[in-house]
Amino acid sequence: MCCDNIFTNSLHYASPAHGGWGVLKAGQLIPESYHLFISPAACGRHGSLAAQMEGRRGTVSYLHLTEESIVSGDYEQEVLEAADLLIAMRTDRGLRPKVFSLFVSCIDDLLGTDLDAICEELGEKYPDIQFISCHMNPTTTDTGVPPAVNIQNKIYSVLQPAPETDTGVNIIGVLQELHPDMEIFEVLRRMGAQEVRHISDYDTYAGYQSMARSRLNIVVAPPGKYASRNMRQKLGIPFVMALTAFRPENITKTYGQIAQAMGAQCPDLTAYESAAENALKETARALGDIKIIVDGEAVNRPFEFARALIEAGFTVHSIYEQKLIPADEEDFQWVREKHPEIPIYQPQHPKMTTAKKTTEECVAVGYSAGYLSGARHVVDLGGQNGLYGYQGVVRLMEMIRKAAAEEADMKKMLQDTVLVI
Amino acid sequence: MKNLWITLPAYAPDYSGICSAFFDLGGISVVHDASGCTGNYTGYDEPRWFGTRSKVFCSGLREIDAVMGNDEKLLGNLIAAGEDIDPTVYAVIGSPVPMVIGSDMKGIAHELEERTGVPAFGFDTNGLHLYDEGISEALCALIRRFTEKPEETIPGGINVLGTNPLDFANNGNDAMLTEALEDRGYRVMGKMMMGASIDQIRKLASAEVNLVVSVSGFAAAELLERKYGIPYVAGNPVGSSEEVFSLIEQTRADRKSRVITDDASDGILIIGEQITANSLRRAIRNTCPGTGVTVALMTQCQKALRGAGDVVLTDEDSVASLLATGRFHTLIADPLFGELPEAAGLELISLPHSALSSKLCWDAAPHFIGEQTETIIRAACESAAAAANGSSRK
Repeated sequence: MCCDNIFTNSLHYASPAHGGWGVLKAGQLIPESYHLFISPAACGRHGSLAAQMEGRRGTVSYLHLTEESIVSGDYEQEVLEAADLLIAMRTDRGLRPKVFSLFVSCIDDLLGTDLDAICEELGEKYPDIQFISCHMNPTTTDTGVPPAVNIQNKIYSVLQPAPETDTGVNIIGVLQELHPDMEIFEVLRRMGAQEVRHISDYDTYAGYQSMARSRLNIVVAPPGKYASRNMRQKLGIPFVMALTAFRPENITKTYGQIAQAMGAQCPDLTAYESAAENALKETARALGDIKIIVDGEAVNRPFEFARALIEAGFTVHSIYEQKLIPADEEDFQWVREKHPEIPIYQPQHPKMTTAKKTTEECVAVGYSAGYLSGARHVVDLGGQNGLYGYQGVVRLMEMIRKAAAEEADMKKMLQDTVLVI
Repeated sequence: MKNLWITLPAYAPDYSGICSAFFDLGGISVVHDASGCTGNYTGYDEPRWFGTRSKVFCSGLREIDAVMGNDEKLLGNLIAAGEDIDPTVYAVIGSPVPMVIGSDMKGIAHELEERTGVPAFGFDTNGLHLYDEGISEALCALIRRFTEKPEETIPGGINVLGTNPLDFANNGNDAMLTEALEDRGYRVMGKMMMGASIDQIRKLASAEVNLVVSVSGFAAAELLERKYGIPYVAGNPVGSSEEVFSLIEQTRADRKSRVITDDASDGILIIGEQITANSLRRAIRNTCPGTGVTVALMTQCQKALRGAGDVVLTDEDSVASLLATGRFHTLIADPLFGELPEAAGLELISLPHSALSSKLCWDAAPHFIGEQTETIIRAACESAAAAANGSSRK
């Protein structure tokens, strides 16, 4: 599990801190959408409970498949009947959906249900509703289109080509909106973008369609790349990869790439850059001997983040990452070469169940690292939670200082965070 | 519509039941799935998961393995994990994908045992059945494998069959039950499955009597009776009722198995696990004689425990139809049932059931023995009295 055993294939351990949004919650971002989950009863349980906990249960129903229907593969009629019933129910309540998704689970990849044909049939019957097929199939995790990537593609697939483009830009790749105090909004405005759009901005399907008018997709996290490629093809919106970074020089470079993609001058970023550098250095100083534990479930590129910390004077205690992503390869090599003493742990490796907790004073940035390491201090951060750019660095440094000042109640933190695997 | 669940979540599945049953045994359990099935169990079906050292893993099943039927990867990873962990047993647990591709979980377990020498169990669970069936199957498999013919019967020796956190939560119900039995002079030999060990399972047949406290333990009780002649009592001590303890004494004396069950009648509807629901009905009737109570089951229904008129519910639609009949003024059930539109006219007395509502309500699950469930019994009686007087407590 230590450095010599990184990124190995093994049984997977699911700690109480492991998980994220799940595909259903992502699909429910589509305004005025309704969702029908078609699967064995078990497959929908955790998503249903998570939806209940977060007040999202009202826009999803579950059609439980039986042994008979799986064996015969003949549940198309049941799906059509369920869709009829649910559309009628929502219409009666004045909530007729604009988008209706059919979710299936892993077994459907093997059964080969023709979901597109069902969607087509439903589309003919209900021409005012868009029907889409979605997959919760983690068996495809090692393929080019794993569930987290596929669902992003699906939620943007309901956007229709706009008659004209405006000066707006879309933030793609993250499902939670960026914090409004991130400087990216101001920087993009100064680059000429009148609107910065994110799916979570919209309550109506009609409003959501304005994302199709945007001139550029800014992809801030890798799962949005596939969707952006397809949006380029369907909607004619180009995209730029502008992944969240924590090294100030990387952030500056990223803004340069965005400016280039927009055909604009990059505004002067010196003040922002200095603020981020100062925040890093001041926090490193403030922490003194307290070390940092980095978590790949909290930030997309844990090695880039670790490098940012090391360069600012922090001591990185360890890094938790299940699988290296290509966008983090260069910084992984840097960490391994310059700091071979930093252990790298796979949070899902069975050995984590017998690993000793750290006795050193540490701040863990993320839930899995916090739980698995037993660090006294934990930053309440999952999935980057709206951080971006220089202000993202400043804000994260504030969170680290705050976490360092208090003992974490890990159990409560996880109870308050609804995680789905 | 049949099988359409608009409001309620699904109950905990069979594979979660297997994992739950093996939780305390010091073994390695692996769900042969991609991630979500294990996530169901670890995230939503196991209140003991935080801080545990129990070794429950996901096989990380991928599309290519499924298509190619690559069991070797699973076997290799199980053996590698075993080298690090030194398990007492292995449990290899199926999920929907192995069902579709026809994986032979028992065959994989057999191969695993051949290669490692560690007892290994395979379960062809598929996520279409419920947790209680999984626990039943696991418990019976463990008994068949490990329980030894006794050299002697221990006077006052008793096994508790059917404790599990999906029916009993993780609030100390199991410990309170043990304490209640020990206070009455019994020696609790097997705690199946909360607090279980392989050593306990070996010695189960030394007990004089079995106490079955949830339907998950019923098949094991029948097995132990059939194989070793140990009679059982199927009942869960609830509130301040002494009836279960009294039945145990009678059964010790005459060696005849007993179950708590009554015929159903309209008035109060209990939806829950069969043995606790039956015991609650009996306690309500003992407290306020003449009160009509029906037990309805969405989980396993054992014929021997079923009162005449008790109802088996198969899906949300069947629950809604039953609630809409107008036969009931009061519903004792998990709070999630209260969200069904058809429950609107009924008084709801909350009886959180972790197997349904998971972490939404498991911290509010009552202690079965003592005041918390006594409060439920009193509330039921007050509700029945109010209904009889033509007024509603709601």
